[in-house]
Amino acid sequence: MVDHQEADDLIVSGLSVYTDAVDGADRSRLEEVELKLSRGEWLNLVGVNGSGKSTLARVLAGLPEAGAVGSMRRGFAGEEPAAYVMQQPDTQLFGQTPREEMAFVLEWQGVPASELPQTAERMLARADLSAFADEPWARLSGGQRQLAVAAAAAGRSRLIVFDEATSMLDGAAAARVRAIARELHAAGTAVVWVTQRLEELEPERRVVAMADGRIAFDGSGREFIYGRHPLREEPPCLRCGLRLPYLASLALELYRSGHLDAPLPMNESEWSGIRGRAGTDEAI
Amino acid sequence: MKPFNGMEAAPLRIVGADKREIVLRQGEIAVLLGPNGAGKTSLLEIAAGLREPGDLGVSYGDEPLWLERGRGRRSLNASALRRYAYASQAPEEQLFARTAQEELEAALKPYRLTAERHAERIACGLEAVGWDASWASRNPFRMSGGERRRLALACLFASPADWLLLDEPAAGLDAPGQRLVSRQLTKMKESGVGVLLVSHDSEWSLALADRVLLLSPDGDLRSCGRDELLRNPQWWEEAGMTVPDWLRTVNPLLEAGVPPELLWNPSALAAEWIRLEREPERRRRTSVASVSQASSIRTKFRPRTDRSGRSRSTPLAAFDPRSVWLSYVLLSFAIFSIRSWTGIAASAIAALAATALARIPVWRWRLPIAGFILFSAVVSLVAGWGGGRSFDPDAFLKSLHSLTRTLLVMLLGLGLATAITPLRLRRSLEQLLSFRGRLAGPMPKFILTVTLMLRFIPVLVGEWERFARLTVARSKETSRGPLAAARRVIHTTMPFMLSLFRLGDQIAAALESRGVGRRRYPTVPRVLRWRKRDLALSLISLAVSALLWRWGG
Repeated sequence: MVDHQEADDLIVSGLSVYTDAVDGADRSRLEEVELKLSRGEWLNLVGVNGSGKSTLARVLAGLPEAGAVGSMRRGFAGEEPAAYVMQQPDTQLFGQTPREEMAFVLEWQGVPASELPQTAERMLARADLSAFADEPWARLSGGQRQLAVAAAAAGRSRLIVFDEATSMLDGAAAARVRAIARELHAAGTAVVWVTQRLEELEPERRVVAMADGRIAFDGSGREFIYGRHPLREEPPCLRCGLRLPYLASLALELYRSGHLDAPLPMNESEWSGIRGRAGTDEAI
Repeated sequence: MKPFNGMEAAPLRIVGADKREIVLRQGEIAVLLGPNGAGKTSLLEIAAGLREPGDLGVSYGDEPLWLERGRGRRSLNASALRRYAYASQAPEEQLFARTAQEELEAALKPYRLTAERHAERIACGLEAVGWDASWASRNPFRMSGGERRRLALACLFASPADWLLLDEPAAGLDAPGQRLVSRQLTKMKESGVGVLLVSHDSEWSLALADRVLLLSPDGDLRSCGRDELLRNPQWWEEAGMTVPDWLRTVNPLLEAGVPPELLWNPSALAAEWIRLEREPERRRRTSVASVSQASSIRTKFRPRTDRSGRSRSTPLAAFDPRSVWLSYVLLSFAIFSIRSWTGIAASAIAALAATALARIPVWRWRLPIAGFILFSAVVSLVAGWGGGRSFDPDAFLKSLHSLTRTLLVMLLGLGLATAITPLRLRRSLEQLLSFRGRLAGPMPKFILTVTLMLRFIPVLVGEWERFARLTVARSKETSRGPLAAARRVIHTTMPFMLSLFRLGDQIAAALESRGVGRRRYPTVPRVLRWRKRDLALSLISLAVSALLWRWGG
């Protein structure tokens, strides 16, 4: 079983991308990147703009990338490009309404015409868009449009890449897009989640951080925020040029004064445990 | 407060539909928060005069942003425009010059500074982003994304304006870049500049804020002090947002009386946390003391966004595209075959009746229609004079006649474009051209290309309009003269072209990842059905066409 899993890993080795940055595009270089992604894995990919995380995400998705050298074995992901969701919904929607969009995708997947309406309906339901199925995009919010993109991209490949899909969304809309990703992951799809929002990182899930075109960190979410030994080293997220989240800086101070023990809290549920213990939790 | 730039202090006033107003002062940083789709960017654009203000009034000091010109028309007030400097989301997309120096000069041009002051402001702008003078000769298009962003910010900080309006200035910046922007904004605020910024990053923006504007999706705008918002977490929900996790976690400390300014000092806050835990009896002692100064007010505003029901649905959408096409072809042939002027009158009545019945939003195309009418008149007059010294009424009427027919056919064509979305068009074409559910040869690619082009025209128009607005924000030119218009077009074109490349790149990636084009042909679902109403529409069109043909033929 283990052997089999390794046999169909997606493996990137010696990947370098050289581009001439004249067009002002947000695409940058990669240098000697080595990465392995297993079937059904969830990988958070972080880094500042220009660190190369988007370039790596495109390569992982199997999209053509000019100036790329090195080798890649697609493994479980297959030779065809994987589903890929970008930040800006308007360039990723080809129909005029959510229903048209789903039909468009299904037609190109060669879904038999007789199954098409029901399948489209299911995809719309997944994105909470059934009630807006025939509304033009102009009447939907940015969050709803992004949900339509996610729903249209989902379900076709064994890998889906979200490239800062939530960075322009508010908390509620971002959570719904993320829920679609979780659902796909639970069904066995591998997810590459590119983000700048560190609050989206889960404590035990794998994080790969890019800096200056290289992989600067590969480990758990908690380690990325606090380091392996809190206070004894600079947190990896700072080393990668990202801002230490507000609550992490508070946790480090509480830890410094001996008031918290490792593992330090990462999310709302871990914090509410601490508040409960401290008795400061009565108001909420 | 010391007036900046020798001008008088100019508060930014926003007057709502209910005539109540929100006043923002110089020397303060105001942060505009709101959920997706509430119109934060629209409101900022209204404050900058880049968007029709609807029933909002905006003024900088005693300069109203819009001047009434009588008969309900208004024009932008150039001296109000000079009161602010504006940075859009991703302001680096707007760069157009060949060197950083030229870019900075373009930002300063509206202010007509003395040479000495001009040089001083440029140095200031570069220094604000941590650059020395050697950067001035760099080419922006050879810079990295991060450096381009810095240059755009340098242009903003170089400007001697009283107000800075910024849309998501921290988004996409690394931590040192975000610190740099915070420091610079605080410095400018202390020198008397007013700041209004939109940000969805509450951790970053609330640390800076003196005042918060909360915009809810129903158009309510609440203005309050930052600390008031911290004491009233329910206001987040009232504006359609959720309390951010970080704030929810430290909120019990605020309720126990910890002063809000300690929130941005983690070690002091941790000490308070521990102290409160050790001495629970001290909790809540001071909490209610300072709820007095509620400066929050409410106002209504309705930004005219795309969502205000622009496209009212047309009854034609309920018909099979093929029957609509057939009707269009029949009527067009009939109109083109008409010779007599009474026939023209009859077809005009028929065409107008059709546009009214189909509820075709002719108004949206008023400019091209007016242009075509003008063109027809000019061409006919030229034709009339063309024969020689004297006016030839026959030639004039003849060309007017054929151009009028064209206009009528064009009006009907608009209905076709409204009723049939590109994908419906694609499907009907495919169904028309396919054999046993399969399309042959290059047809699918051709049809796909045409329909995608139609799909993305509104996106492209939107991009053009966005950059045209930003050009106004930068040039501060309100003149309607041809020279000014030409300059606007030139300054809009460069960023627009670059944006086209980016869009094209994204569209290609999206198509690729959806598997479009990899198969030789898509499924052609026979979802279109020819129903009784389609037959009726076709027969009515046939009858009208026959009548017109008999009458005027």
